[in-house]
Amino acid sequence: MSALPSQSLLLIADSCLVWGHRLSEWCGHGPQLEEDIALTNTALDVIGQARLLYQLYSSRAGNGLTEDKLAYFRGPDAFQNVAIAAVENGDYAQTVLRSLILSAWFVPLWRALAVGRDPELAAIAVEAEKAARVQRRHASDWTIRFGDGTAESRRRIEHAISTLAPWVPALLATEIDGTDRAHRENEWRAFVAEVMAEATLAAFPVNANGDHHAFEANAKQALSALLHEMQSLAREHPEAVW
Amino acid sequence: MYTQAIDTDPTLRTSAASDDGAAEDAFLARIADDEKIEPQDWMPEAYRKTLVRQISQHAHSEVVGMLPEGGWITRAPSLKRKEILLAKVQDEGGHGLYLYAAAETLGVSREQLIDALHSGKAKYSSIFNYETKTWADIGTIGWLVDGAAIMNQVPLCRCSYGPYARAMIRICKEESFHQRQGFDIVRALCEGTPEQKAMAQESLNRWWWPTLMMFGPHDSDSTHTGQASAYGIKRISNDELRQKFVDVTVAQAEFLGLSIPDPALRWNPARGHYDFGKIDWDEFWRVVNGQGPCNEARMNDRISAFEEGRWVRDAASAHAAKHAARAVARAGALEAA
Repeated sequence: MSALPSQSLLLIADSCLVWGHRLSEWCGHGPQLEEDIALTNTALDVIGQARLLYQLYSSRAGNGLTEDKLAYFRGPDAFQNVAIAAVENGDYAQTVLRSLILSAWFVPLWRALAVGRDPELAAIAVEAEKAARVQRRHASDWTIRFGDGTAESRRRIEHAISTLAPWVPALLATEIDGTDRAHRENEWRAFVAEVMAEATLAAFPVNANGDHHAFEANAKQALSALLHEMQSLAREHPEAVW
Repeated sequence: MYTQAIDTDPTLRTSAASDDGAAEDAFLARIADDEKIEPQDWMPEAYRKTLVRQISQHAHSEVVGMLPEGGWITRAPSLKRKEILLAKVQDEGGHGLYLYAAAETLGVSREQLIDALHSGKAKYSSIFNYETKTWADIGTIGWLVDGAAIMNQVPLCRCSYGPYARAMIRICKEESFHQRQGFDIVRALCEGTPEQKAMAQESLNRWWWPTLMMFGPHDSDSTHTGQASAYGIKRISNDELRQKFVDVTVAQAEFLGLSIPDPALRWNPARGHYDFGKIDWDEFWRVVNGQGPCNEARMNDRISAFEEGRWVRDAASAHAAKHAARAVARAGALEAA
């Protein structure tokens, strides 16, 4: 067995948890009941993946760590998530677009890990890839509807693109041991290009322009607020079992 | 999740008048034979109206019921509890969906029903107008509120209207999971630190009486029950269900080491049931009529989700129309070629 380095495990797990948290914020507030249920489903998928990865990490670390200690008792500086996962939801267009960006990133990542050298992780990745494909389909369908829907929906999806695009270069540059980063990036670019074309939108602007320090500071601030809420009750009762 | 006894609206306490006496006799005979009524069958207008009102009230309760618990998903104190709560609230959305679909078989649209909710014309279970102040409330809602809902809902699996009865079979199975997960949250609190146990007791103190109110007014004040029973919609009376709930729940509270906040609660060997104190019906009617702690917040949340989602639904319709028009144009071009 050749285990994936623990930092990569944490990066994937934290990204799943943080994204799942954002999706769960929609629960009960979706634009229609079917969408409420769909977003909850994605949240359940990715939080479930985070749990499996934390459990794997903990079993390998072997120092009394648990999934809940990892999720609830680390601060924002210790979280390894890709920054875009923590960005606030914004409107439904921004939520859907973030799902497209992340699921299109996760599909090739899980596929690579599913055939990788770490069999325990591969077992998780096989199922996770199937879920990510469903998420990617759902997010693509809505991106297309928004681009090729009404003037209002087009305005909103274009605004979402300009809001989220600055986080994409760092996402695509993220190295995960045991996977071919360039290959994953190519698949992401090809998939997103196809969706943008069908949505009658301009090509997705992947470029490294902009004030990266400002983006990083914003992302950290959003993550801090998210963790403050998520961890509040658990930290109030550190000895409790729930 | 949650039906409330259906007889809280005096406008429905009318008889099932029909011009077609023979058809109505045949209809009542089918009900008496425990036959299911299906959407294409003749039915008295009063039966249809009662069902639309009850099923939509139930659907609205499911959807509004997502809010008090949904607010704790982001703060659930463990990942396991977070997943369970997400799945539970998702189920409630699913129940809303089946129930709106069941109501649509009676000739109303989901839009009409939602409009009636938002305008205040339609009611939902008033239990959701109470606050979820602590994590223990998530346990108590599952244990007590879902427990009471199951008492109300299991008889509906045998109700005379086929689409409703079939929806309720699935809903009741999921409610059973909801009740168990709630009890398990409370059990964990009661086995936990003194602060956790106190949190569970404080929550029980707040939810006990509103839960008993969920069964609706006393049978003696409930003139609609007779008609709903004749139609095979309501099978067991409010007071019978409430008594059953109290009898079952007292033993569960004892097991947990919690005290039910009712000094009048005691076993009555002559009746073979627990006697319990007087329900504050003034509070019940206040909350039903809009003066509960969260009535306004719940409606604001629902209305703003609906209004803020309008552009999303419009985009989906516009895209579907464009897509269909292009398909027609392509087919026309092929034919011309």
